[in-house]
Amino acid sequence: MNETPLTQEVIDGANVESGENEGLFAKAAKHPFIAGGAILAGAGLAYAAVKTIQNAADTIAREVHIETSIAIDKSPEELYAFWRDFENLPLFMKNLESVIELDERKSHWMAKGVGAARVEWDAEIYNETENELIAWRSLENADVVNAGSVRFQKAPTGHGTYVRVTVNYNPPAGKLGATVAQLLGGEPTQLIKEDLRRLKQMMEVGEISTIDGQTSGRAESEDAEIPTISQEIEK
Amino acid sequence: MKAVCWESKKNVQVLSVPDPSIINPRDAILKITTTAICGSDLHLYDGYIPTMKKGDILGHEFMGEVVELGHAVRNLKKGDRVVVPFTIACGNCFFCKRNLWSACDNSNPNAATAEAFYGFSGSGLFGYSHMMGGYAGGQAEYVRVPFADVGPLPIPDELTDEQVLFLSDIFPTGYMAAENCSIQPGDTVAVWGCGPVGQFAIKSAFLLGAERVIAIDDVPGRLRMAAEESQAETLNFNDQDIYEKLTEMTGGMGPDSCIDAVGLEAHGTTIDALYDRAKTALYLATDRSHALRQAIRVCRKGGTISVPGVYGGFLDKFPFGAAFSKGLTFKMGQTNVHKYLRPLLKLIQNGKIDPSFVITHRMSLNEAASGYSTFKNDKDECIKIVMKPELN
Repeated sequence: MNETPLTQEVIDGANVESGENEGLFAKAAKHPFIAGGAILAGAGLAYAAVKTIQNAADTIAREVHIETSIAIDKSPEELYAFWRDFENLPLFMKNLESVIELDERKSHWMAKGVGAARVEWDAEIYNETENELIAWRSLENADVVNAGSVRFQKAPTGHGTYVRVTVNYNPPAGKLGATVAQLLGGEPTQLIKEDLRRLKQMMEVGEISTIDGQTSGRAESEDAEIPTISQEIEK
Repeated sequence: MKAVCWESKKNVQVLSVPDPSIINPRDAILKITTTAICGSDLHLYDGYIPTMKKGDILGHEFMGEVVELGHAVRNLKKGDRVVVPFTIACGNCFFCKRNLWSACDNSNPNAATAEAFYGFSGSGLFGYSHMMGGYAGGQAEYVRVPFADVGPLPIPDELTDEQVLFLSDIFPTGYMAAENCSIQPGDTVAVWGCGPVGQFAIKSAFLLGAERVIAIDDVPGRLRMAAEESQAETLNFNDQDIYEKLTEMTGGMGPDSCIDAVGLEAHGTTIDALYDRAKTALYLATDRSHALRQAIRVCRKGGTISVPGVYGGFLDKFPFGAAFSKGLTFKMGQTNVHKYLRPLLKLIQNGKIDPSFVITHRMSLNEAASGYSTFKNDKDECIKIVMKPELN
């Protein structure tokens, strides 16, 4: 399976918009995120190019761009198979409540709520190369317009896989926006990185390392979150 | 249960806390029979290690009886008597498979913090700050042991707790320090720091074939132990110029290998972003780092510097030019305890070593607070404290 409609559009669009910058765009198109069909915030030319594209949802996830990676001591085939079953994603993605597969390409995603608020969307896989790449994006009427991609690259040493993930989203306004902000916290890149670390542990170890549920000499009320790196530095 | 909790700098207390329970399939719960206070616990006690939280349960040298097992642990059974490595390792990752257990990729649930400081995180550790995983330690009546199918070593009945307890940390740590020296027959090894790790480094250097071991410290009781227990030659750095003396003792060559078993407190090092805070708040005199500098200066050309002492961050005035110009080899790191458990147990069984020689104090768990203070303030008399919950 190797359908790349939007990727092709991006590249075509880029060429139309700025022919003299083909070199740059050819380079950009190889970028996992660009190849994933959305556009890097701040990449001005790419941003211009995207205006020519008619996205199915009529909106493109581009306001927040997150990229992170991890090395996992499993083959690309094993990791691809696990990820491609989207219903596995909530096992390691902390903020996902559930993903239900609607058909081969479409799925319904539900994020964990904050209070009564719910964040849901339908998504489709729009680009995929078996054992190498999966790219998905939200469809119409999404609570949060978002897109993501994952690449599985055999590590150069022959051991395991280099897994690279991009996530893009447009933070919604209003009450929903507050919910999303609360879910993602102040360090969304770190959040995705932690999701990947849980994936690594599940795949390599069969369980996720945790101290949640262990006892201490603290009253529950004192059991605040571990200070973040920035808090620790400020101290 | 009763547990020794870190409350604040220089304040540990024995508190009643809920018993631990199985959280993951590969967990075990141990009933602690013997536990110890480590020199590195004093770094926590003195407030040098960031990301400690009030109420954290201390202790990373412990052993006990298996009382509960997660369903994925098949190599242990209830009632087994085991020693547990202080480094927590999954046994499955790239590093564990290469015997680099203390570099385990999967055992630190808070790897992000260590990663931010160091680029990559080492393994989780028991009772040693949230940056190292935040795992509750074993200075308690019970402890949860993650990856219990990998770490705990069953102990034959004929060996006492005190003979095997130090397989959890200081014996392998001293042994790895000596092994890292690649000792050749006839070699002279100099060891800075005669705390428990230094004592085991000295003994191990002899076991690995060193002809002479020279022990350096300024605490008479510790130098005496090195001389009496291991027949080391001793130097008190308050009384003599270590460079002059070591050069003279080695016929003008310098020791073949130098072991720094002192670590960060003597050297005033800490983690990057916390550096200034620590320096001002904790009076870190950076020019106290004479041990490692001295070792680099006096080591013979082409020799090895082995560092079991714990370091956290950046060294001031590190004489890298001397190290380069003399072609020194540096070996260091947290101990790959799992790698040494069985070989060192065999040495104990064969009577080559009885690790209980370092113990100077025995007490109940309830006396932990005074134990920490004694260990901190009476270095002459107090070299190693073991605690037994059953004495409570």
